Amino acid sequence: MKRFINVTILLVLLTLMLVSSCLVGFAKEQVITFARAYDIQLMDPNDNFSPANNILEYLLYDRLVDFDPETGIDFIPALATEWKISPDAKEYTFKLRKGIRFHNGEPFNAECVKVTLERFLHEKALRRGMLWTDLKEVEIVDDYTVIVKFSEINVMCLTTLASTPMLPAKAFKEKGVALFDNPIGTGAFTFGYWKHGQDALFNKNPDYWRESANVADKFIFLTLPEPSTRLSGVLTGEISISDYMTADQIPLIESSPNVEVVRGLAWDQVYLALKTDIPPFTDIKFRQAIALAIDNEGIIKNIMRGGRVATGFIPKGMLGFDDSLVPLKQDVEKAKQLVKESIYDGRTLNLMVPMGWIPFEKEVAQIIQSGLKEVGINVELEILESSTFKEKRAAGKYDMFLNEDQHMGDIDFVLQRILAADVHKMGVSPELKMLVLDQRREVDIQKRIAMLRKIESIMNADFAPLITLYQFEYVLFQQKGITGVKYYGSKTHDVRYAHYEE
Amino acid sequence: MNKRYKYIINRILWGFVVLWGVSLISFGILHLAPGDPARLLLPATATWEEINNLREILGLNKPLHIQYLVYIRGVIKGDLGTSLFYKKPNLDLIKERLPATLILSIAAILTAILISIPLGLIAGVKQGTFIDVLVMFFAILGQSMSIVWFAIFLVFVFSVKLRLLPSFGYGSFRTLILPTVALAFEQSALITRLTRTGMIDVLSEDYILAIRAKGIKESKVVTRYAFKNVLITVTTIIGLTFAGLMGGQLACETIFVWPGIGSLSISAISQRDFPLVQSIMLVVSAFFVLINLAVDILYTFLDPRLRYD
Repeated sequence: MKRFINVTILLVLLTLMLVSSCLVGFAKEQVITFARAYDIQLMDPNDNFSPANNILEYLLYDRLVDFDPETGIDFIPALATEWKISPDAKEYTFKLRKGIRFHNGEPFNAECVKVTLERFLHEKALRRGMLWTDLKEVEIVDDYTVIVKFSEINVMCLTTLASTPMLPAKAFKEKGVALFDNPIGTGAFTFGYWKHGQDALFNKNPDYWRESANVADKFIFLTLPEPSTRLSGVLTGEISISDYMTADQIPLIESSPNVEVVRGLAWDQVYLALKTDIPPFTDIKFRQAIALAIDNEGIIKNIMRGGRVATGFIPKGMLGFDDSLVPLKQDVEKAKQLVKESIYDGRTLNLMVPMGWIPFEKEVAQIIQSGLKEVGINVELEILESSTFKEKRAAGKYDMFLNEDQHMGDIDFVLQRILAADVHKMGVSPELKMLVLDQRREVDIQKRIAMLRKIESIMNADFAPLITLYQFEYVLFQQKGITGVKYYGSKTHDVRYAHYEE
Repeated sequence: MNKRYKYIINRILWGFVVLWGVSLISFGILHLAPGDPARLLLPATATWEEINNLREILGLNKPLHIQYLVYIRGVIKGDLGTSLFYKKPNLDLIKERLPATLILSIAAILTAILISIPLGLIAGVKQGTFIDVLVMFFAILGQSMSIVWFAIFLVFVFSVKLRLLPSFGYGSFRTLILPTVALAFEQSALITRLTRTGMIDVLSEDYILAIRAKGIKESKVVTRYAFKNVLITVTTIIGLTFAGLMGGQLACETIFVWPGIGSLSISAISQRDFPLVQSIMLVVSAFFVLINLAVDILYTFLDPRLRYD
């Protein structure tokens, strides 16, 4: 009898252990915490330019097309299954995917495309409206065919659509911008909550139209501006993926068995802009001397600890990049000679540096300053808070400034403003402006690439209006075992399939 | 009317005058400082046309006095305006952050009081001894150590190395501990020194000598007779410290990701979100006014010699 009781107890215990391990297996949910330095600006995907927003839009929404993860600049079908571009690139006809539903059950169709895009016609204050200035109208052919029409030749349509999430037409018409208090998309995740400056929670959408087995159960987006907090969070395991890390922090995680580094070339380049319409910058010898005086290799090796020396304004990985170009090497003696031959009178030039934009901006600026000093050019650094910097730059109150441009998809957006519109008042030549305006009207992709390269070669030969210094990397720290993320040079990483390998 | 109530009403009325002054000064400073909110709301490569267009939509191209009057009219009606950056009512944004600021401020000041007053008392009583030296060392350390460094140090030890506490976050008691310790350490330094100094001064007073001559126990002399007079001096600094904490603690909020007023105000300032900055300054000033009033009223209970006139 005693033996029977003992065996029974043993069996019960074994059963309980088995059941509890199964329950643990069922109860264990996949939670991805993603930490970034910048806060989400707004939940309205058409009314923000925040880097944080671009990533979360991959979670909640889908677009008509997506960037090809292999190249980062070509396009693959998403909510649109195919498209046709008119010969004059003024009309884009899209066939839409059928059977897609928004999180509230509303079907995705041509009306949704019309409502989403025509917002830019009706609401003039939308921050992304500047990407749609040529939009004329959106014509509905049938429920799943739509024509997007422009008033001018538009070769950027697909690029822009790849960052334009689709909205539910009916819900938006009913609620207007109040919809974004509880945003609704077709994406892999539904909206949970958003606490300003803190975190945002997204829950798995079990009815996602794409494969959803590898979608995590929860995705938490954390705003952690302090790099040491992001670092400690990833070391303790509180953070799954920590973005906006820097290469100098890599040694700090090397001893951790659970954390790995992900790095790759970003589309961000740092450049030195010159006020080319005032002396001594009007003299090409002086400009060339500046370019030859700067030790870009040293910056990449000792400060950035990764990246590449730039060969021109077009970053590696973007449309038009020419890998046959060779970077300019530092040549102190030649630079000294050129300074002597130039019209430079020895006055102290000011170099404006924005705080918090460029990694290690002070160290980089100091290297530039000492390099220029070595060849006989006196430079005073002016490190400015962001809004003061922008104000002075827009007013043209500088000799030089250091800057970094982030590109998303196509270089045209930055080219138009920096060169064609010369918003920074650098004194861009009329020839360059004309070329920039012409390339965006070129429908033939090979011809357009040739034009972009011509613009770059003119800038390189002229050392004006800016000297591109280096291209840096994106660096993320993540827990080992995380997979499914697609990393892009634009730093708008596609995180919707981030999950822990079982 | 009772003198106390007259005094309170008088102070509240003056408080409104102070708040009006704060609104005027903050409006003036914000608009004089370089930085255009419209430019900051748009990407760095926005054209002049785009920027001017947005300025017009946001009403930023109107004369300054009109902009101020529109703002003040809204404030009187209880509407603090809408954030240019977040496009939400400023009051809602501030209300979201106030609980976190309140919790951390109360926790920090209570912890600071619990640490600093006993330490200050002991140091004052044991002036010149090793205990006094130790307490002074603690106080100087707290005043001279960078709170940023100390906060990161706490995270490194208790979160990364010992894995005892979370490194950041808000919403649980465990997440409150490290930011409270960081803030309390900084705040208790000054309170400790003031308590010590106050204690030394009071203990040298003639009436204390008289009380001791009566044969009353030393512990009672300190706690019942001397301490009350020290409290009057220390109450002011505690009040000011608490009011300062309510204005937000940027270092702790950034490092521990504590969603308080401090980080909201820095974000608003860097974005030149004029309406939000003005609203935060108004609300924080209102807290200052109320806390100062509370301290003044408390004085009259602590020291009956003080009058309302």
